[in-house]
Amino acid sequence: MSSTRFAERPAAGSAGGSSAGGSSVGSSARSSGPRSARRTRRRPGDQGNRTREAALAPLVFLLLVLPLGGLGSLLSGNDWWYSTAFVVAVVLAVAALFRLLPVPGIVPSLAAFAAWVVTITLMFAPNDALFGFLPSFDTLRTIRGGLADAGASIAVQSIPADPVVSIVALLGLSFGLLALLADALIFAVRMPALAGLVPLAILAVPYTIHQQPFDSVLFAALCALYLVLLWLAARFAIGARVPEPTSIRSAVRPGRNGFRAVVSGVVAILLAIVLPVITPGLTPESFHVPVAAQLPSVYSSGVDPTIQLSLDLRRSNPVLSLTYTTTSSAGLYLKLVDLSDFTDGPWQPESTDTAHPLNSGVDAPDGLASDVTTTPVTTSFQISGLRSDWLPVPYPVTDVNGLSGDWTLTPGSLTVTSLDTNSDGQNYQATSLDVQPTAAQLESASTAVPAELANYVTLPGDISPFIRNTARSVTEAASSNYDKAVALQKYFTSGAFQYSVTAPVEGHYDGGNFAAVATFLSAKSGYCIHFASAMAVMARTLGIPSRIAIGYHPGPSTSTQSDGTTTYDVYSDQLHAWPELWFAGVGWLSFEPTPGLGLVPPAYSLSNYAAVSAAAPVRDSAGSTAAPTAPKAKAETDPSITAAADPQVQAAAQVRAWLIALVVVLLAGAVAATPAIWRRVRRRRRLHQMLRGAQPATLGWAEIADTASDYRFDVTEGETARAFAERIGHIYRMPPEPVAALLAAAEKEQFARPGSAEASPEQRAELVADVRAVIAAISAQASAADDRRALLLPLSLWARLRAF
Amino acid sequence: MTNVAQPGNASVSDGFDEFGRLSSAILDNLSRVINGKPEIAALSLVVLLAEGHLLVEDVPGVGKTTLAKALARSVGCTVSRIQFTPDLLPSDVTGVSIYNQHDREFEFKPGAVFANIVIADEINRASPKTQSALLECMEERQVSIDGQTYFLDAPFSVVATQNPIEMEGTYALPEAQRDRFMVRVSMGYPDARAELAMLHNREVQSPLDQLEAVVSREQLMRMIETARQVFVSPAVEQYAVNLAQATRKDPDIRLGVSPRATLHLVRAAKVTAALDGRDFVLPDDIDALVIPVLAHRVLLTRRSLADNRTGGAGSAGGAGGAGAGGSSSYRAVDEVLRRIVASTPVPLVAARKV
Repeated sequence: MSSTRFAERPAAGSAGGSSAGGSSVGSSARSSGPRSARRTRRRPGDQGNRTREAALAPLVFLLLVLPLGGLGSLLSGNDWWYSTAFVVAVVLAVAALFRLLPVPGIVPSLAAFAAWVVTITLMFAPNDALFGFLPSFDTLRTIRGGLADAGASIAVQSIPADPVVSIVALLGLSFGLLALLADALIFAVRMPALAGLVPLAILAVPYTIHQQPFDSVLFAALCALYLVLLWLAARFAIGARVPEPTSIRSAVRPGRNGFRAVVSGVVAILLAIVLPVITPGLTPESFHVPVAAQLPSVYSSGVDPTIQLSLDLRRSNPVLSLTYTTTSSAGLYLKLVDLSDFTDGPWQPESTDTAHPLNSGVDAPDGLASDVTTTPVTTSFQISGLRSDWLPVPYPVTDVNGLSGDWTLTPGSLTVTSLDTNSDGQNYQATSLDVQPTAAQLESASTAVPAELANYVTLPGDISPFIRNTARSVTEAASSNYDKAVALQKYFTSGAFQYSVTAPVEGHYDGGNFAAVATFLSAKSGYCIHFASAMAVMARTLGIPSRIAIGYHPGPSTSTQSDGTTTYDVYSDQLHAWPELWFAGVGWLSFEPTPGLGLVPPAYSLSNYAAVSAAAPVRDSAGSTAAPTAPKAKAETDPSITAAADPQVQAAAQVRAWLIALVVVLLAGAVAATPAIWRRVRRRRRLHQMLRGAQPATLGWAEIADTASDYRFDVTEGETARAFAERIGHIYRMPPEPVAALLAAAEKEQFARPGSAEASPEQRAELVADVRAVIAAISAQASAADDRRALLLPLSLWARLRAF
Repeated sequence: MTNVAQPGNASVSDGFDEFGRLSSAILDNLSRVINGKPEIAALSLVVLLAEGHLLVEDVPGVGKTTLAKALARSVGCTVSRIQFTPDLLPSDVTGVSIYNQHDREFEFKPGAVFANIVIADEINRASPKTQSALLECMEERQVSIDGQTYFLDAPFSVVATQNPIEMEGTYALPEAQRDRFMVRVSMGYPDARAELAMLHNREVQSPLDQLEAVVSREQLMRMIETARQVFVSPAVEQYAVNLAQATRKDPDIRLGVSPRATLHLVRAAKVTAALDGRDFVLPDDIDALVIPVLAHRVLLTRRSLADNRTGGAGSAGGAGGAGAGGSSSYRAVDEVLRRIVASTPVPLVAARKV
């Protein structure tokens, strides 16, 4: 009623004594005025904005090509970098140029896509193009073929790979697409923050493929660039939701958004750096614990075994494959599998057709006569990081027990294999023989090859004569098979050959086949598989049965126990290949032609074996020459070492780490949800209190003020409820009746004569309904992002904390 | 606006009804004369009903005197007008005892101040002595002459006008005396539409002549009584006190407001609440009155003046330097007061219990 009578009252209240004061006292300084809640979106026709957006393009370019440089550890040379950067530059430049024109937002992206297509066509498939630049179906086929090539090339090559054309094309294709994506994210979708995913994805590539020290300079540079991008994007008002926050928070000055963006970005990066350090389960080391993908997977994938071997050898982070404790005086060669079928093409592991179950007994070693001195050796194995169908066992094995699963034994090679399980996590004991033939026994071995071993001397007819000639010339002076074998080994280990993991790759003779052997013999550089295959093939040309064993070389021992056993840790980079040659009456003997690994060839394979064995005729039958009293200091460290290496302990540690990580995540989630829950509880308590407590309307109004403050609406102490209602009414269309009713009731409670404002239960219920209506109105008009922020980070709690 | 005004009992309710009816009648009258200045009219009514005094300050010709006259004419009270000049004597204001030869005794001749509404035109042109005579009456509501005290009839309200231009040979009211005025208003120039309307209104005759009293003296006294009944909660009283204290502590203010200013503020706020149909005072009422009631009582520091002064309109006499619509120093004061209001916690918002 009063409003009709005193139509000019509100104005009179704001007279202010002078015409200088505009609206009502106090609130006018802060109120944002009747600004329309939905501000007009940034119009595309703004020339200045377009220029500034185009100016962002160099920044995006840097964001893409800097992490591209990180691939330098994977690819040799740097031509690939230039071509890829060129594609990226073309795509971004075309997009930027088109963005300078007054065209709809989608056009620059389309133009950039066209530029990408044409550039790729011109660079990598120019012959099939229509008019020299338009892609045709042939172009597609060519490119697809190129991609297939790239896939094969990537699979075959090791790091750093040779950037063949197909790989460069793949890089150009993918980086051009990434540039398109980044450009579209920033300018078309207007979510510049998401563009950070692109350099992140590129940066992650080298580290996932190849373990290497983290390049913090590059990372810092990228972060700085990204922050600059965010800042500029905020400055240039590139962002999908720029109008929203200003309409809600009257206090936010547009100029400060950039600052906020930078601050939140910096905080995010700092968190990313600090969090892994302080949380127990998420340190980088916890990811180094071998996960399945990191295990050396010898032969399990069925690809060329020698290539697989070379890949495992080139691993820069060897993982612990197995640990064994043996009674042997020296380390054991642990054989996984034999390659005996030397045919054209990749050499495959021997067939397991003749295999029989392991528990039906172990066959006697081929050709081992009873007059040869042998010493039984007992070894217990713990496999922690090897996933293979074959079991590493010493040759010749006489007994294996303790295995889980069904295993079969292949007679002849005495390898143990399984079809339904694998070696990972197995603990078992193996008894093997330490064969100690005398020089005389070896010398006198017959050169006749038994019929059942004929397979071991067959060679394809068309092998390079160079191999035969070399073998003949090397063994000219030798008469017996044994002498020839010793001469062959000496040929390789006498210094003419070099050990190199990379040379075969660079010379393109990696792998096990006759072409590779011939090339290796002339290049005189390679690694174990080359030495082993070369010696084996040469031995066959000389009529000595031979095969290639693949397994682990002994490596250095780690500790010696007091009971005379020695423990060895075998790492994945001890994967090895060596030739086994057959001598009548002695059987298969291992040779060690590979130099440069610090491996000691078996005593019998050395040319002075006869003299040495004459001086110390036979070893005592106990076999072990290991010092019976081992150093005690070493022994004491054993339990911890073996415990750490124990796969179960490792698994437990891993599970614990993940559990801790889970708990940390849950705790963090709980902590993050606490404000929201607290705020909800407070609201419920208030609304509940309104139904029975004193001053229901005041409580309701406090709840509304808090809600507004949650929505980042400035609530100041110096503002009256009315002024506040008026101000919020300028920004949100508030339901008038509930606001007026609440306001009147609250004012009455607070300032009227005591006792004059006793609310009935119905009135209280109405007030609660009013409060809910007002809150619903605010929430309905705020954006989803503001809703989330109000829910998760209620500022009113902070204000309350501050008040204490 | 369903239940904003629901006074406690019937008689109070009647009082408020009458109050609302009469006050809107007075404001109607005023708006006929003062074109386009409803807030000034309302403020002058507030001062009248709060038994305060009004100081109208502005350049010549913007309707200061017209406002005062219209206000006086709208209520059926005795009105007198004193045109202050340099040669005006205190006795001209208060009255004088003259020897009556017929009765052979001194007889008191009441001066112009003996009226319900006194219009003191261009008060700064009179000598300080004369000014003081009036100002004493304003505060004491009595006149003492020759040992005899004469009381002034209620209601008593002085509407003084002061011309801030042409300060030569004038005596601008010092701070201590400005303090006695409840409200100072600056008329300010009318906007173009109001000025045009004014031309039409006054083409034939002055609208002032057509004004008739819409409120009798008794009715006015009842209105004043009603306004007195308005309830001021302790929270609001505390708020007023806090505001006053804040002006005394503010670094920008050289001289804060007096306790009398707090009194005036609350009294005026009561009338504002009554005009709004409420029987209790809101902090909003206080807020709205802070600048009219307090602005002429505070003195800013020189630094603050210098910081706030955009133009070079300063002249000797502090608040005297002026122009229509408020000088820069006025604006500076308003600004400081607004800041104080904004930073002083308001009882309702500050009261958080759960």
